Amino acid sequence: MMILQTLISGILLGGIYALISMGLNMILGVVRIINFAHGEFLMIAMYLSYIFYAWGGMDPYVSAIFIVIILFVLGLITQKGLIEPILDKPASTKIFATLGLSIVLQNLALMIFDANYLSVTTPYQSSVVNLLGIAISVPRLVSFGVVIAIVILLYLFLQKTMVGRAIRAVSMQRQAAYLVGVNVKRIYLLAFGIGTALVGLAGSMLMPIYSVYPTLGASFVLIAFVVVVLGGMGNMFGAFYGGLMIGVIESLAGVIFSPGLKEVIYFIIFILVLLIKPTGIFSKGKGSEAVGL
Amino acid sequence: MKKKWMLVVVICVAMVLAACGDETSAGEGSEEIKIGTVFPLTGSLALLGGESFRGVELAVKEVNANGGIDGKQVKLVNSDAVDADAAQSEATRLINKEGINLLVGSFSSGISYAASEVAERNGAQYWELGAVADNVTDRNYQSIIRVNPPASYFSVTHINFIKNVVAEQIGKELKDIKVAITHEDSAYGTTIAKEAEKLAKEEGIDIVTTQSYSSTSNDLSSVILNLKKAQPDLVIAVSYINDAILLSKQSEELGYKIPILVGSGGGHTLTDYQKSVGDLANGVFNIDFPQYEINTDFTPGLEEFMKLYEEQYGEKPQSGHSLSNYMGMKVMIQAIDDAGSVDVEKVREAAMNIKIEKGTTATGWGVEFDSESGQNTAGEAYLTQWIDGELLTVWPEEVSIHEPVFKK
Amino acid sequence: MSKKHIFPILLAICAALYPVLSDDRYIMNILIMILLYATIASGWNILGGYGGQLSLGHALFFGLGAYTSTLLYLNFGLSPWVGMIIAVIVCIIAGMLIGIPTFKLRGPYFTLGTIAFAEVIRHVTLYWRDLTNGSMGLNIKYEPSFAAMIFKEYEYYYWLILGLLVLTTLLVHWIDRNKMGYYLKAIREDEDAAETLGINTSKYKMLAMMISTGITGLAGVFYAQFNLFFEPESVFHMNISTEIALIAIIGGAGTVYGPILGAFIIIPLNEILRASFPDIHGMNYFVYGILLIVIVILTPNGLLPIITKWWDKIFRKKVSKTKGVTKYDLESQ
Repeated sequence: MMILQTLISGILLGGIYALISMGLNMILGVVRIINFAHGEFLMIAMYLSYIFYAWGGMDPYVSAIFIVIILFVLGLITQKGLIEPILDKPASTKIFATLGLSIVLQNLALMIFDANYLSVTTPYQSSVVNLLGIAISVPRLVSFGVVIAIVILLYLFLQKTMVGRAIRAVSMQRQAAYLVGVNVKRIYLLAFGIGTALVGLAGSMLMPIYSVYPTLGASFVLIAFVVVVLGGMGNMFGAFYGGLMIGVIESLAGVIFSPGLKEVIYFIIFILVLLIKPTGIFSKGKGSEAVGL
Repeated sequence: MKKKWMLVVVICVAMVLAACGDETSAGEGSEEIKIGTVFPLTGSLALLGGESFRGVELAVKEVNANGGIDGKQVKLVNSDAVDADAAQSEATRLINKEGINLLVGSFSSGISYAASEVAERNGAQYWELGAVADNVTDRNYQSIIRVNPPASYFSVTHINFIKNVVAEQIGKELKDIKVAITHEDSAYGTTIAKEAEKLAKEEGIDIVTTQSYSSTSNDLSSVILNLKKAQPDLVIAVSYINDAILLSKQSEELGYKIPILVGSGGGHTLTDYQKSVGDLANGVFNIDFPQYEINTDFTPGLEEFMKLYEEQYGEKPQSGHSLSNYMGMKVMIQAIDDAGSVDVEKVREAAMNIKIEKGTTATGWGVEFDSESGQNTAGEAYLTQWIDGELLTVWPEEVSIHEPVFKK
Repeated sequence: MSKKHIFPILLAICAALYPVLSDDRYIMNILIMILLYATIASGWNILGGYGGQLSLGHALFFGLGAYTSTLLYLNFGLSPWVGMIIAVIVCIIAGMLIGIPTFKLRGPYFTLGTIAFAEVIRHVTLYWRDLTNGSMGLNIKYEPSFAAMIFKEYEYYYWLILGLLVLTTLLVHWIDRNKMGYYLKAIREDEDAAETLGINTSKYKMLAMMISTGITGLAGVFYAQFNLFFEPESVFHMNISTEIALIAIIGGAGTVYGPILGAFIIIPLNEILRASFPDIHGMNYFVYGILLIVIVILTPNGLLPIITKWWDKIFRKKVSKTKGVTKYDLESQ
């Protein structure tokens, strides 16, 4: 029973990780940039969610619509203003530009909101469904449902629409995509926007579960990278499996070994995966292997 | 080529000039008494670091409003010591650049170590008003004075509470009580947990499990499942805010009701904690510095502090950290006043001579320094409990305004 | 010795004389920090700058050096002078062990791999309390003595770290002028091409890693002896890794003096900003972040190449002027 409960908790946690990582994966896979400010976009989304709640009395699940739009626009601005000018600069420039952005956003939040831990109160935040003795938290279940919905929608979008195909083409072979007439820059812009919009959705789903504070992003961003690499960069569904994997590993490691060792264990697994299959467990083709930053 | 040589000469001359020119830092003799502050005001410790700093600021404001020390105004020279490294560098700056030899800090043990190390080396003095790691004063440095009670005092209250109150409540012999400890793995959590474990062993209390986890962890389900498995009668938790919130929320999510949860300051004290977890906070015990819902007969000056605080910041204090720092700062000011100078040896001597009875300060703490270590031995951690959204002091009796409530 | 070397040598001599002229401990403290970071960044530069292997896990070796010598000192009373040598050996071995797997990775995978290794060690240090004292950190008692490498006066620390930096710089200079430097640069530009040209890329990457980690570990020992207190967060944290890389990159990665220039910019910048906004919490880092973005975008190859270019411009102008004069002289004849 204990193990089953651990597994379920792990899967639900994995859903949260997957939700955060899918946006990062989109950015990493298509724009090919290690976006260290990804966690800060999550933080911004949660602060927005809090503002909608505190000033407009809006439930986080309702305000999600607005937040997704706002974050999409923020993503466009970031791509246009910061990332696009440095696309052909060395790898180090890209890394430190996004690191700089993350420092700026963190401290902006500190100046505006102070270091307080803000949270919303919803009627369902501590509701629990009991299933054969297994406790399942309602907000976590909801966010898991959202992840599944997003996975399906993303699949349809990427497979069935022209734009989606263009995005896939760019993520696999940017040279070739360019040659057949895809506007690569616009695809980057769109991918970055979708990436931040997804993390905006993640923020809305997380608000009933977590509190928001200026350095919140830092506690999620490394896990998100682990998830993305495990799942395979550029493979949109890899992030989903990767998230579940890390969630389950984290929970099991905490119960079997010690909660103090769970980071050690998932980082070791991460290293092992990097070594055995650098393209990620769930990656399909070569495409992402040669990511030259 | 000549030009190149010229440049070399110019640079060398500039360095020499820079070297000679910087010996103008202000010393004593001015009309102000300068005290340097070393608190983490940004970064991950900003919340409680900032709260602690406010107490210091208020004490200084108060003394200045009353004419200062011997007619001299007290001026705080602030620094932002985000972490141990920054503390090292900022303390050096305050001492050598600003010409200050009295420093005060810091809320965090790591910062305290770093800053006091600098004070010891540079012949300055460092007053600690909030960090709890015992080692800070165990080093017996002549440069350190600590007013607040260290971690081991927290554990004394933990164990005494179990011994004197809980045992009777749950109707068990001391040796049959099963206690679990869960703590975040920074210096704060580790020290308190270690002290509690040690003391429990001495008293013959059974520690069934000790769970440590990273304070930046965003999932505590495994901690909770391990607690659930161990079936303790009482859980001692040492948490910062994020993990305190997660512990309460996730144990509810996982359908585990912690029978008796005793926090150890940090997160469990904060109003943000109560706001985040709502009703789940009800009944949670907490051992910490004095809080505001306390028997004011034992803590004269508390109400004035509250008024001052709200006037200054337009809100209620987040936690008792500001109060403890306020009280500690007043002791420091008294020591400077008694010494009639900012000379470090005189101030230390004056401090060692200060004797204050328990129950006569805003925190209720007395003052009696151990002259070896510089630790105030008359401080104490009190037990509070969240009852209907308020953090009431419930034990020991002289400070309590409510009986401890045990859920059946 | 060519004239080109006179400038740096004179600078080093001036720097060495500095403590004789001033006893301002605040400036001295900052200078020590600058020299320390210049040393580590120079070490990082061999692997990250010349070899193009962008490690964001160098804090691992910094902390490993600090922990090795300090644990030996605290547990066995071994003098840090000896502990230093052991620390360097430990760091080199650790570097090799980490290099073997991570060198198979390219680009961002390598970077993420180094981050992961550093995180593993940080968490293990936090967890393994019996050995490392966990997050409570290690504290060396302040008892000045030469054998314990604890000095009352900051000057000795200053000279020690200056000496370390000079040695490191000489080493980097040597690498820069020798085939190792060329090979590393070739690897940075195109690893596959370098391989085809017959360069043993794994060998040179590993050599760069070993030198780089050895220097970083040595700097870690110095840090421990200077601060006398450190905890896992203050030596293993990712912020340290990024700061090391940042210093080298802003100064000019893959150049001999770039990391030194970077340290002289970044460390004082941090200090100045921290002292500038004592009342608005967060403002200092906010400004720092903006400056960081602006600098890396405007000078992707670092500041040193730009300064060198200016220098050459001024210098060349003079040359051309002389030429003009000669020409004029000739014509007039």
